[in-house]
Amino acid sequence: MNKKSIPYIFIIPALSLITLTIITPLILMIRVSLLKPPEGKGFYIPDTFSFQNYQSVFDSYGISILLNTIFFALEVSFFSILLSFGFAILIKKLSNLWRIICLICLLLPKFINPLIIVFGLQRLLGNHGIINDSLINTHLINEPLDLIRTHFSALIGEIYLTIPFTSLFLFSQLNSIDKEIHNAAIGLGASNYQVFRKITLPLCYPGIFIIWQLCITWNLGSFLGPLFLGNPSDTTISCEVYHQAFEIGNWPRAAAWSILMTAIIIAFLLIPRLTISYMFKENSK
Amino acid sequence: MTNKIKLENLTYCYSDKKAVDNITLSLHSGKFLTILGPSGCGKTTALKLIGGYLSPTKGSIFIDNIDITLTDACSRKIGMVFQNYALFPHLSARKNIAFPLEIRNHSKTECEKKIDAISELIGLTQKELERKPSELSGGQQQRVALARALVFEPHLLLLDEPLANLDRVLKTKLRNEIRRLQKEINITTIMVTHDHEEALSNSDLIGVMDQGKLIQINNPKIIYDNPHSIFVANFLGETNIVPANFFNIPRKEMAHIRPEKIKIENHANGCNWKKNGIITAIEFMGPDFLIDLKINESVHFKILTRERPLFTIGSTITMGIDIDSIWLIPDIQMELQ
Repeated sequence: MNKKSIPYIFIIPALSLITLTIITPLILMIRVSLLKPPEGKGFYIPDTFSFQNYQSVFDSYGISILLNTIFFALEVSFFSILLSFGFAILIKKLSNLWRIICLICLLLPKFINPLIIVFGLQRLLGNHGIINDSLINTHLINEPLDLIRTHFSALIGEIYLTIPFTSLFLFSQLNSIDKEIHNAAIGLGASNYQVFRKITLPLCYPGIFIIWQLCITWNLGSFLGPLFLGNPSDTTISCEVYHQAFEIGNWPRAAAWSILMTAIIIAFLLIPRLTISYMFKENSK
Repeated sequence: MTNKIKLENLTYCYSDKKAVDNITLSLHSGKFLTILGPSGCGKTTALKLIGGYLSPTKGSIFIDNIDITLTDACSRKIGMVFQNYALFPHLSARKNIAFPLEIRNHSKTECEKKIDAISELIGLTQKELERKPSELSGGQQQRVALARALVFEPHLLLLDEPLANLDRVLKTKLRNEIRRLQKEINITTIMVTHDHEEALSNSDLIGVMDQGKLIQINNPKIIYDNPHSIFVANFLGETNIVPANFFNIPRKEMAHIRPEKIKIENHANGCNWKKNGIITAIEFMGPDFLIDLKINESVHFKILTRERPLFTIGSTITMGIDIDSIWLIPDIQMELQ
């Protein structure tokens, strides 16, 4: 056997799995998205070809869903990273025992089905949930606050689901910075704030960028939060796919939305990366 | 001359272990002190206490007779070079050196002037200044760290094993350069190392530490020839330690003589103490040979000789010592059995 071919042989299992589970369904989906939508019965009209699903995706309603999805994903990733950065700094300062306790608390929700978490949040934020009830019982308010079915509650739900990953990642990122570098900066006369601003934060930029990319990828597909906690009027692409495929039964339309979402995610992964590598090339010239 | 830095009963405990145990010393302005000791003797901890990165359990630190024990590290104005240099990896060498100046809000032109001056003194080229630390060699990183620690004109320079990560040739070169620089700027310096050659060649004063205690502090020559304890004698290089009565000196102490002070064969003729022995090993050390000479079952001597020995292992030769060159170690408790 040729030595050069060995790496390719090792790739085969992973490659065949990816082909089977991702590439094939994607190709099928593209085909379905080009079929005509059903008239009356069935999920699609077989053996037809049209672009009409893509046209309908870009009508005014479609555009609003699209923008809403992107805006929502940006919002969730911004707040998730902001909050988990604070959290990571906090647990880094704790003693070993408290650090372990905090990390376990952080990971505990991940042992629970996300659906159950979302239902739990529904109970918490609902009109007769713990927050509203206790506020009414203490006579701070008379009418229950609109906590659920709002943009805010959808945001809370999605952040709740995202934050364990971002916190862990940023914590390990912070931990990977040599303590002596911090000491060196202090010894050269920097205050704690100056050390953070000039040393710690810039050293975390690459990590923040990677976790932002992961966040964006997850949250462009946000589903549970907007569906169960969010306002039905500001829905996301995933909710629309669910609505089209399982409630209306328009498979070609759902497929078109899915293809579009895949394209957006790829764009969000590629464009910042290419921009940054282009910028670095310019800098090093 | 005035005391630049003074430590009084400085003590630091990790849980219940005393890492630094009751150290008292003072150092004159412009002097170079080397703290020498084995790994884990507390020398780096002592340096961190002076730098303000740890706060002492007990005792005080004075700079220019001002008590700075409770002053934060950021306001102590002490330059420190860390063992791994601790350069900021995301900043260029120039930005690294500029860091302490920018923190102090120096103007841009002033920064540039100071950076250029210190870089020239330390031997960093403009090209090297634009590089990131990862693009610099170990020696260059060392220079950047040194420049960064000196550029803001600190009261004191602390060096934590600054040469540990360099190869031998570079080590010697940088060692000499550090000394030259220290004299040129006339900055009071405390260096920590476990390498006795570094300590002997560079310092005005050597302090030997063991298990948190400062055992002896004096100039290199005295530390080398007249150690206060067997530990100090052994730590500063190959040596011979035998009971004093072996040389017919009627004392209880141990006698100490360095291998290069012992003469052999014809050279031993003029000595007032002579003995025959069997060579058990000859070690080639480059310019010298280290001979292991067996006098009897319990006494071996290590002898350093410049001449290529004509004899081989197993042959009998004569060794001679001037009784005057023997130093009696005053430390009786640690007598060899």
